[in-house]
Amino acid sequence: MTHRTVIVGASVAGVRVADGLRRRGYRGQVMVVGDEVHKPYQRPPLSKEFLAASAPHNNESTLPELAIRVRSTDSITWLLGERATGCDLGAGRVLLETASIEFDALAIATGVRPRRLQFRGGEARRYVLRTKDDAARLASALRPGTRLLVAGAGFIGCELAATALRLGCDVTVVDLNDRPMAGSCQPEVAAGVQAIHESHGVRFKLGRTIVGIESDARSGVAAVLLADGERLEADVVVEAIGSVPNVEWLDGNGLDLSDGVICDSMMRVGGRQNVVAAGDVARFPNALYCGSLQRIEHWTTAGETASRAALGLDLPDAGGTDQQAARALVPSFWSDQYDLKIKGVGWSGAADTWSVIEGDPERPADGVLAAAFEQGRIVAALSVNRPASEVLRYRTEIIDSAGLAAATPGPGS
Amino acid sequence: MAEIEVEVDLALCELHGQCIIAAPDIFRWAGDELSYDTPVAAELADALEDAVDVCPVQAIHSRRTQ
Repeated sequence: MTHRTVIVGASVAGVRVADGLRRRGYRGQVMVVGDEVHKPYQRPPLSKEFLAASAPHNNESTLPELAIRVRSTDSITWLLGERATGCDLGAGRVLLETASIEFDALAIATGVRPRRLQFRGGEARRYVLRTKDDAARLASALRPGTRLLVAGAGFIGCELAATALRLGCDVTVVDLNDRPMAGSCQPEVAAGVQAIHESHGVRFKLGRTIVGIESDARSGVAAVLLADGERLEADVVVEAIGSVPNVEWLDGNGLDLSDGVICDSMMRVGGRQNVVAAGDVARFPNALYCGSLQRIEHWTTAGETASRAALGLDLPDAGGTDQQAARALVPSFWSDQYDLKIKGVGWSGAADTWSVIEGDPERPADGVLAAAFEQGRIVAALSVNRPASEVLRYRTEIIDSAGLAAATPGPGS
Repeated sequence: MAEIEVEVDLALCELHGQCIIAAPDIFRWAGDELSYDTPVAAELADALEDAVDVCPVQAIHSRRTQ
């Protein structure tokens, strides 16, 4: 019987695991299962150029090509449009809606889905933005004058606001934090970016909680209700309030699924040599941050964890190199809003200081750089419109500073 | 000697610099622009493959010449 590796998840992480297996010389069957019907595609353009080009009245832009080039595609058995509903790790079986598949090795790459506001009401006017189908549905509703309410001022919410504004929409963004991009952006820089949005006409309702959604029985127009009693009417409401890992299908296997799937440093799951996880769903110990468990939803991390996961699987007749495993895994992301190119490296979750070190946060378009420190050690950097090479220099500093930290004895190191 | 042609679609390139991290023997900064070698020796095939995969906009293409 040919050895079979099943990869559940057909986006960046899933396909990069497949490529990594073939690169190791694996000759078994590689089956990639994806719940979407589309061949693997890139998500970052969905909040930017793809959304803009898909809007019905926008005749100027051509649709960008989203397809991910998969080197190993000819040697993959593709099962698209199939959702995993269950799994028995011990028996080596994945349950799909229409069938069950046996595996010798398994890669979990099922990613995340959008978190939803937990109220009923106004469903016809409510949208999310995760998939190509979501983007197409949303784009068809965005016209000049459309009143758009974005729930969530994170990076996706902010990109969406910028794209929609350029399509002529009337945009309001609501968030319970007191500034946009609160999780990952230095506060003064975030305020500066907010001011740019506001100069374009985007309204922010920050420090506000959404407590309900209603829709007018006759017109169907939605109204979002805030805790302070304010009522915001909208033609379109997009819920961009974060993500929920797709882990329910793994229930019953004794795994901690409280925040994605926990892995070891080689992405192995549950102490098993034949099960790994990669991408947005994977929670792994980051040696760069004293082994703290991190679940990172950045595009680059998907490929990096996938490469590592492909090496982590115990496979017959497949060699491997330790090169990928040795490379430090530095979270890195980007966000494009108007003519602002935002780039971030590192992780600021445990930082005690976040300081602007170059430029003026009130003029982010002219270039501003901030760095985050934890007990004097640089842990993250964020730049807007700075020279391209600069953030990579900070990436190197972050890696080097971890080397110093690791040499110091301490808890968890 | 086996060699590989490298081409970067500069219209797609957004200067993320991930290729420089993955394959510093092939890709580098020239000021604030990207510069790269072509062709490269076959020994660099793995690093080049890493760079092709890690580019967020899939701007890098490679082709074996021998």
